[in-house]
Amino acid sequence: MTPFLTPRYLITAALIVVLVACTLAAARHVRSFLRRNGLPVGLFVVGAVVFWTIVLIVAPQIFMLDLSFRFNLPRSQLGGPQDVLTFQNYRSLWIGPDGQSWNLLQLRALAVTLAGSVFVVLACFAICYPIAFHLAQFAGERRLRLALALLIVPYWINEILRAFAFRILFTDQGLINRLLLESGLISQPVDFFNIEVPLYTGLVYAYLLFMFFPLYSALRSLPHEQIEAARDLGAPWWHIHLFVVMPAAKAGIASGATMVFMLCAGSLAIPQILGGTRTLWFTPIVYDRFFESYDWPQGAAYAVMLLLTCIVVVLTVQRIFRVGLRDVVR
Amino acid sequence: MAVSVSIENLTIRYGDSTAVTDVSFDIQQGEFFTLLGPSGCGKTTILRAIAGFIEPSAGEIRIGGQSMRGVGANRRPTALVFQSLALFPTMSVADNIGYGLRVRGVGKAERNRRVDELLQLVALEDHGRKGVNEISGGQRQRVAIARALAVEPTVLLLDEPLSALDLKLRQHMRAELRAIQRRVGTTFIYITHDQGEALAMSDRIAVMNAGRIEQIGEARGIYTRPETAFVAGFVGETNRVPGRVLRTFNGSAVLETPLGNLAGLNPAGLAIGDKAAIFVRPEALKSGTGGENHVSGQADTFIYEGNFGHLSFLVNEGHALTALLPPDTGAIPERGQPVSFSFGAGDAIILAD
Repeated sequence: MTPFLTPRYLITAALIVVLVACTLAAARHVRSFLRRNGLPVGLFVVGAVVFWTIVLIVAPQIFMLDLSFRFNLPRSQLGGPQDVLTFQNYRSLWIGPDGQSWNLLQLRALAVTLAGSVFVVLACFAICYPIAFHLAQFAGERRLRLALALLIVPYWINEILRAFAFRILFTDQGLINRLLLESGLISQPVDFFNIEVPLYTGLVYAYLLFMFFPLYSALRSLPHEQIEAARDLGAPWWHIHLFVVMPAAKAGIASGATMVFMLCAGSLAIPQILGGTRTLWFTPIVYDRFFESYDWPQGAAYAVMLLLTCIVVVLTVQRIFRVGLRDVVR
Repeated sequence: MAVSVSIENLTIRYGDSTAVTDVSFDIQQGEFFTLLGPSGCGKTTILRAIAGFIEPSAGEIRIGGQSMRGVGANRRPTALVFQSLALFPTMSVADNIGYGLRVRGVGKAERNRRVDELLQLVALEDHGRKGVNEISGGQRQRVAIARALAVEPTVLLLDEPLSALDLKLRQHMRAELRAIQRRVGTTFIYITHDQGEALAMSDRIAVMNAGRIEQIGEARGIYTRPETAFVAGFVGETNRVPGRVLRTFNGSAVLETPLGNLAGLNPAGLAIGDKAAIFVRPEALKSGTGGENHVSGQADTFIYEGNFGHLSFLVNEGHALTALLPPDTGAIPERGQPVSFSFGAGDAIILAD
């Protein structure tokens, strides 16, 4: 086998072919785009878009996908007779090292990550919806600006710093435990980390705005008279929200939920900083494959699996609620 | 006939400004009642107060004899057709119409039957499954009316629902609305700034200005016997000549004006020396010298409107009057040509100015 026929090169070649085909198919649009915007600007925009999609998004994923099907070989054996494709990295996700029993720990971590992310999405929605609804429909200009500032300013602080601040807050000697002890509600400090309160508080706090802004802009575009019309027809407030406001804001809800879910399931720093000793989250496992056991192919396989599972979950949920991808990006 | 809606000494204030001042009127069961006035006169405020979206600062609103104080908009026997229609874009035409019934827990079979009836009432039988953005403006209009009628309100409130339509459709919808109202027999309260709409559809009209009611009456009475200078000027076209009362006799008066002494009715009982104006409709100005009052001057502009034409002419000191020329008028006077018109004292009204 010549080195040029290895899958990696074949994939790269195929990618180039696809790219050229796409460019040819879009040639007419590209030409008219260049004509309308002038050559320098046009070339920059087209070049930047191509660079962005191919080099920054598609190519790394393809190389990671390719890597995930390989054995973890020393450098000298790369391209050698041992360097063949394998499913072993994926199998090790659910089959233990003995080759027989289920790898329950990792599967549980994956399940907990997905379920936990769903919980974070729901919590973010529950917190953001009333605020976004009120600001979008009722708040005056001044109150709106003040509220938006209050929402955004905390995010000027680095995510890691915020996570450590939370950690301090939740320790045995932290503010919360001390307040509870002082008020006599508890006699022993609560080990919050053991029951994962800091983890979920931190995750919800970190991704709140990704829910808030799509929700706010969707609710903002809902004419106030629709709410009045529903009320006038006799609807109680919960009926108005459930059957008039939320369906109208469906695209915003879907967009926010997708973003929070994806970011949350892929979050690394917050589970590591705010997780307890028993906390299971999938991303630290991926991280360990790369940087603890230096098994990049296995890490790649785990990362691909996490991505695929998340995509499946998102698409399934969108299917159930009848939202298209088109709505989400609107 | 029973009183359907009764408004007593209604006053509505927003902060320092007063939108509605001490307004009172009764509306009969099954009546088509119109609140007519320029924008900002407080008519929409009254409508929203009846619907329950605004709490009155003072006064009482009764519907079917029941005070509406403290009753929320969702528990009032009213239904509002919004100016923007406010149809629910996420629902089909049928679901829009059935929304009020669904809220009331009406079962699916009964709901469908009622929705079908209403679709038939507004002639949209084949459009129930369509989205509200797939039908025309006039059809959306009818969906909004059907949706409001579905909850069988005691009073249907309409907030300038025709203002977004083009002229032809608007005229068609006037007749349609009146026909629907006759069929269902519900009390309609209609808001408009368009006096043509008000005159064409209403049983009674309340003309509003600056938060107060100027006059309430039937269309003909409002048009032929305005009680205030505002009503005379706002409803229909009119010629206004200011002056001072010179003589009064038997319900009439003579006004001293820059165009000479002009006689007209004096319904308000103005006294000698009062500042006043005389109002006369363009159609009351007849060519020639038949009536008691004579005005002559030079023809200025003629506006042709198909079935008739408006001629404005300048009397002394550049004061312009307008006369309506019927289609059988022979030659139209050229600009600058002398013309003379007259009108009967019974066709002119003298009101405080």
